[in-house]
Amino acid sequence: MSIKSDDQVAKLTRHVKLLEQALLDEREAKKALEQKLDDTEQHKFESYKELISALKQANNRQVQLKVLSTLAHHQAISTSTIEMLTTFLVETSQLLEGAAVFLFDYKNPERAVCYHLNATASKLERLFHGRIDITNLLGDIEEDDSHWRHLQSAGNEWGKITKHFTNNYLISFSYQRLKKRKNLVIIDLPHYCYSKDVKQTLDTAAQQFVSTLQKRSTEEKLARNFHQLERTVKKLKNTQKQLVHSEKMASIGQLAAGIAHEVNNPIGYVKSNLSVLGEYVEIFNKALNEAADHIPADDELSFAQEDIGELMASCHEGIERVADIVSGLNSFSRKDDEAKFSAVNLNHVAEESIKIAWNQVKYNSEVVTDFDEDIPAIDGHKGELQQVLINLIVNASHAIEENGLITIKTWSDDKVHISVSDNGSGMDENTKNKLFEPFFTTKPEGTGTGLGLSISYAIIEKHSGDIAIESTVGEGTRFILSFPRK
Amino acid sequence: MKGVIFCGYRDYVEQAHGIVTWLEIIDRSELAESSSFIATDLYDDKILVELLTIGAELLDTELSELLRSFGVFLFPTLAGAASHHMDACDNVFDFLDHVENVIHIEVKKSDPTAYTPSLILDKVDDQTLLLKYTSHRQVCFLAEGLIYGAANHFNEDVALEHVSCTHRGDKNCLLKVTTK
Repeated sequence: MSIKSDDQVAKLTRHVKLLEQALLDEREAKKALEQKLDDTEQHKFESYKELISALKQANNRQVQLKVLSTLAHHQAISTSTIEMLTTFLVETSQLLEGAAVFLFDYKNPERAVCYHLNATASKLERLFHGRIDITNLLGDIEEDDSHWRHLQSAGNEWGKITKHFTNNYLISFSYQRLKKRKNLVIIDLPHYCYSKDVKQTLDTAAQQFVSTLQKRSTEEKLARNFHQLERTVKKLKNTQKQLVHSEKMASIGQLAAGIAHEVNNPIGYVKSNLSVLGEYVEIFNKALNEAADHIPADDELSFAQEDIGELMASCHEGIERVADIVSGLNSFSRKDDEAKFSAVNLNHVAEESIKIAWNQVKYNSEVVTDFDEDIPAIDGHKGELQQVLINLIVNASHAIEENGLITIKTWSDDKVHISVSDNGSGMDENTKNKLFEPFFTTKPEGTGTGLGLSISYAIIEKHSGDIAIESTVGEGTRFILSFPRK
Repeated sequence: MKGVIFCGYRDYVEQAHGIVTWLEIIDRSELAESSSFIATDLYDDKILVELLTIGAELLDTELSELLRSFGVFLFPTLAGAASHHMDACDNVFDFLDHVENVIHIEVKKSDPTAYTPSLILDKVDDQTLLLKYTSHRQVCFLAEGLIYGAANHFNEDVALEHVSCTHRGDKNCLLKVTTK
């Protein structure tokens, strides 16, 4: 039995060995076949590998472009820098599966303002009431590098901000927000295991954001400079206009002074001679009366005797009028000193001027006052200022045919103002331009001298004041006088 | 799952515990139709999971531990198949940077549209690498073993920390690889 069994065991062992060998042979043959198959597949794969790779790349690019174009769109439509910044941070946070975002805004790293992004509300919220020192935090960060970088956590060295970082990984990037202001963005996330495409998208988005920010900053700067230039040009134009006007008025003043001087002498002796002539006429009349009986009756002589008195009176009146005009021209051209100046309240000046002008105004106009009782005093000559106001009030009544309303208003800011407005005929541009020139008048010949406003102009200038006119034909005119506070 | 992994598992079991153990595993399996797998074919993932689970029971070891040592064993086989990619790397971090090309190429060869796990890495610093493993097969321990295998290949000593794991209810598997 045992011999038989031993034979059987030996036989079985041999069978097993043969089977094992067969198995190994089969496996080798299978492996060789698999290798052949693999080579064929490899060959096949090589032919479409590039196609697959291109497709994958195209898909990734599509995602990347979608994110970047969304950001570019937001950046284009954002009205403010802060809105653009918030959108950029929200998009970045979303791309990183809602990671926590912190923003540090600072000029001096020792006094930075810390914000936390509330992505749901798209809002940056202050994390602390006060400012915090981020000097240690900035220690490891490369300046102005718009790439996202790993930030090695330094534990408590960063101060009270540390406890707000809940994850193990922080990435950061910093940029220049304004000329002196910088921003540091820190993202607190469980990991930064994202594909190269996502990381590249984040870097591109950051660079795109910084470029847009810089472009905006340049645009804002240009816009500011442009507005400043516009203001300067406007100011220059006004100054030029004033200068031309002052120059014109000064030339006219000189001319007026020359005429006044030249006319004054002949007027002087004509006036004096007229007085003497009057006395001589009286002597002649007396002599003629005494010798009347010896002189034959002569109608012409009688008429001459009667008429000579009227002629003399008329000459006196004429010469007085010429003297008045010369005096007016002198007032316009004279640069008196300011020794007689004292504190003057424009409300009082206006009240007294209304009283004086009332007789001329009452027939066709009503005078309304709107005084600011608290206006400060100005430094001036009360009589001269009254002269100006009377002139303006009377002129206003002349511009009115009936049912006129003359309003006198006072107010103050950095200057003290008084305005006289009427609802009369108004003035055209040509009239406005010539208004202050001597002898310019719109009144009928013989009614005005045309010196009133030119004298008023000289008085206001002497008071270091300004005069402005608002006028519309058919609606009325408003003169605004402005004086420096005392 | 690619047949080469099944073949690798068979070789691993046979070399460490003998052919009978392998045949025992196949015998206990309800899903495996044969003890022989064709390396170039694709098989249902569930079959491998079942074979691994039976292997762990039979050998009285933790599934995670079995996967780790299987990964170490499997690495040279996979590396050999993608030798042109391996030649471009001279350290384990470099290799992990190319890992998707190496491990996926085998699957994509058989079926260009086949699902492949995703391994995305982030180099935290010169010594530390963070690896996010996403796969519906959830065989992160095999990935661990493969990393150890790669470290052996480059004669490097690495430490692995499973920072988060889907088996512990985390959102994804994070592996922290530190070179010593």
